[in-house]
Amino acid sequence: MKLELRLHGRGGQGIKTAGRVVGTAAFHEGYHVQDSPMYGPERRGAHVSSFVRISDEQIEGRGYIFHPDAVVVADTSLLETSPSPLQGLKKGGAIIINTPGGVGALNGYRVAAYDVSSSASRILGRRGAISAGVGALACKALGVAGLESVLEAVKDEMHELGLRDEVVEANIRLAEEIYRNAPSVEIESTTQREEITTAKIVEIPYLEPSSSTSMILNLGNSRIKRTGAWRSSTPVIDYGRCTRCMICFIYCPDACISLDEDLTPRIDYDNCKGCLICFTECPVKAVKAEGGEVA
Amino acid sequence: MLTGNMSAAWGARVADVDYVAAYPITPQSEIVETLSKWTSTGELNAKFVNFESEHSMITAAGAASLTGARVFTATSSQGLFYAFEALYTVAGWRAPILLVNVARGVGMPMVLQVEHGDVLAARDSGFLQLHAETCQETLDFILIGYRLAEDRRILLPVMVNMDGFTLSFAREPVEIPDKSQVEDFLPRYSYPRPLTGDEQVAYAPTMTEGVPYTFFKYQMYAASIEAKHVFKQIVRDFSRVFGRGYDVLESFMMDDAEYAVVCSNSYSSIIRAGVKALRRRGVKVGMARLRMIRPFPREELAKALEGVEAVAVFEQNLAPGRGGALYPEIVEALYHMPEKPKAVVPFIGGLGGANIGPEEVAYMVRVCEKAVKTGIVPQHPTLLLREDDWSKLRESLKVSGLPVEKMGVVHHV
Amino acid sequence: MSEQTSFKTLRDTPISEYLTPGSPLCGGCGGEIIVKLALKALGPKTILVSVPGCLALFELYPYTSLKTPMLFAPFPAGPAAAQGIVDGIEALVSKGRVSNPGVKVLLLTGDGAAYDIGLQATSAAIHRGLDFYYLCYDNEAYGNTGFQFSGSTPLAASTSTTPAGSGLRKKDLFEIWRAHNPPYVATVAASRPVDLLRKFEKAQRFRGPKLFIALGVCPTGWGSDPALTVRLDKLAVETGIFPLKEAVYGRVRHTYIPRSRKPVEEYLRHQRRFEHLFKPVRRDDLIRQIQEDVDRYWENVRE
Repeated sequence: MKLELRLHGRGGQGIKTAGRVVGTAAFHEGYHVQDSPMYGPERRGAHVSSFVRISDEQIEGRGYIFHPDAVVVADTSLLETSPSPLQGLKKGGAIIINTPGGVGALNGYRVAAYDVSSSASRILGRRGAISAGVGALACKALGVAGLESVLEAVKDEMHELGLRDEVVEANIRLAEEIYRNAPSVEIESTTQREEITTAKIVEIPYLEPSSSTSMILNLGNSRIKRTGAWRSSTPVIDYGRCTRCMICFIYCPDACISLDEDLTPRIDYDNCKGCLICFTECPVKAVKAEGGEVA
Repeated sequence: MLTGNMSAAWGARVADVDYVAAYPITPQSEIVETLSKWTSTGELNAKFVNFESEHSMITAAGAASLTGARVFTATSSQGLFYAFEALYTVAGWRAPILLVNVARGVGMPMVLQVEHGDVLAARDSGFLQLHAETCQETLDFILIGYRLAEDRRILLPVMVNMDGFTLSFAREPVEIPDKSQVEDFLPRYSYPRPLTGDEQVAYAPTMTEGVPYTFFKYQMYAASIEAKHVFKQIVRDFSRVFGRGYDVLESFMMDDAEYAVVCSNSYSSIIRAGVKALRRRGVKVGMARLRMIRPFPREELAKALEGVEAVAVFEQNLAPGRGGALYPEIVEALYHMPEKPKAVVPFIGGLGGANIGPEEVAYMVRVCEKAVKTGIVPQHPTLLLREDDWSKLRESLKVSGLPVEKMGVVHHV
Repeated sequence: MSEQTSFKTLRDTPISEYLTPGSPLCGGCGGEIIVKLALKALGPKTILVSVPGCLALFELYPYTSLKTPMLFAPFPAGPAAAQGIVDGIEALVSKGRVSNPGVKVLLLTGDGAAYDIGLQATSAAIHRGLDFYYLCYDNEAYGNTGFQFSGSTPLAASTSTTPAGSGLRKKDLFEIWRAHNPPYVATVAASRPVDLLRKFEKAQRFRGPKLFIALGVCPTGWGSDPALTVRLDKLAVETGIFPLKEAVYGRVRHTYIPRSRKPVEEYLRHQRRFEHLFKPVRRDDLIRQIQEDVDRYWENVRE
């Protein structure tokens, strides 16, 4: 076997740990393994990924996996982001996805779907990290490790995080439930070796420093980043209740709330991260929170 | 008659710098002391600020340079090392400051006198480097350095190296250019997008990806390579105005030379004397002195050494695990020559201000002759330590309590 | 406050924004609120200097979330970079090469730079009387690198390098700065926007160093709900843990005195970094110690 797996999720979901659960479980099965997270400065809610390479032989390669045999998508909303989690997925590869509903054909790929989030909130009792569940789902779907190795791996990795014993136990129960009930998926490409092509290398020109110094001239251009994709809960203003008091405008950390001339607040949903400070601070409860779980 | 330090101060003065960032360190302090005096008397119309460390000093120097002020600063040895992060920073900012490094050994153990372990450690920082043999060169390199650094094609900081003690405290006749000449040669500095609040620019954003990082790093490299050609143009202009000029490399008695000594900085004067003495004896030896270290004048060096039988590389730095820092760069420059010298022999001497004389040149040439004859080139640098130095050293070791009796000595050649 | 101010109520908060949406900072970041408000008070002619730390991420290639010009400087050298800009402009103004633009230089650092690695440079910049604004966004640890212990980490707080809770008390940076006798030092909190705006307004009267410490509620590092950022900030003020004060040429005045201070516990229990004070066994000894430190502080406050 030679398997390259790429995991995608949002900051705070435990995607790095999910990758480690898969890596450790496969290691317990006797495979050669290499796993690594991708670190960026992006924060809670941002798109993050991690990588696992599993093989019968010495691992080849390191770093980013451009052409995975399978991808794990911990959050369906990521499918609409760019770059897509499916980018570079090999033909005949598999998509392992955490979703409450059924998933239609995804570009002809094979799909293993399971509602990890609802099991997690039932067993762990709170939103957030679903790393053990996602790891167990991937191990089962891809057949890289048996139940015993998976539970051992969950135990190792949860202890590594410094979680209390009862939390570790709950995560083990979650992993077991998912492992027993999740579907498997066949991958065509695990034994294929790709032919490599020669890279096309470009020569970059020398430019005068006035146009090649590391600097940004378009100040305030972050608006086009659309951090709204990080959001799990959405604040919605009830304009009938709103008293135009400016409080949501003052406290929005990201300047995502602007005011009309009559002080009516407007939310920039392209960038609102859904922190819900406006929801908490609105003195007349004119801000509602929709979707996700609200504290 | 000016010392090297005074020459450097005069260089800053005639360049009419706007801002001097200062922090004292031996053997550099005289430079900033002099500039502080001139700025207080008004002889130099510049803002002079005493900093609390070289790290702050060089950071502030770079930031001031981005506002459009011409900035001068100086340091040495441990001070340069304390500022190391700031060196890379100002180069990455593309801030064209001029820094005079007064070369001194780097502790521990602490020493005050010359060697090039400090300046060469900064060879990859993004600073262009000009190394001076004389007080006059020190002054002239400051003027050339500003013109080079501030050239809109370059915008990289320049480090002018002057040797501690042998140059910093040595006096010799120096021609101080007058104001009108300097104005003719060195135009007023302006930065493309000055950081004065009017230009909409955010400098040095953090990179999260390797590719844009690569692009900006590569542009610094490309500009540094371009700097050699720009230097040559500038020097043509310099010799038009001042009647003297400098190439990136000085070839001395190289025309028919069978042997060559490659060197840099103030000890080159000693090597020059040795070369002359050997020539009188009929030995066909010459000297190739590097004035520019960054960018490294690879092609010029290879050309200067065409037809030479063997090359002695004399360096005043000793890197554990390596030897001299410049030796591999010199060997690399010669690697692609169709007819390479038969031997390139590494020598280390003059560490921490240890003396050498013309006799060491004779010794180096003899080792080269032997290497050519036997085809065996020493793998490790030969330390130029004389027998009488060794006896004095034995005395010191004995006084300090180290077991001298166990230390034998091997005579070379 | 009987002084002249254009900021009397929340309604006086300037509408202009110098921060744009889409920063890569965590949702619910308290520091962002502080910077947003500070820039409203300082206005558009501000050059920002930043150093490594969470808020450096405002400028993350190819994006920036700030409309002000900016320079990113080495970790220990923020004050020196600010000095270079101020001095460079001054030198050029004195030579008539730029007109006096009346530009302000604002240095933005976290507590790692302010309390630890940049303290020497700050001390010297204050000593030299540098005419600049320094805003320390204090989230009480190295937040940008995974929340490691800093000189600002409070007693008992768990960080990634003091997992069992820090055994040291937080340094008093306000007093360290004040000991240099700068014209203006103040603490500010996001939950007190009018107080914050007034302080940044007042500071503009003085020439020389004007320094601010802002409590930066950090949902990621503190393990708090992002929606509760302002609530937690209010609790820090109301429990007396974070006193709001200013010092003009060394003379301290508290701008808000919580008349009946809430118990510190109300502040501590919303944060995972203090979770071990409550679970698995309640650590009354440590909670008491934290309360006593606060009580002792306020005993000496006269107004």
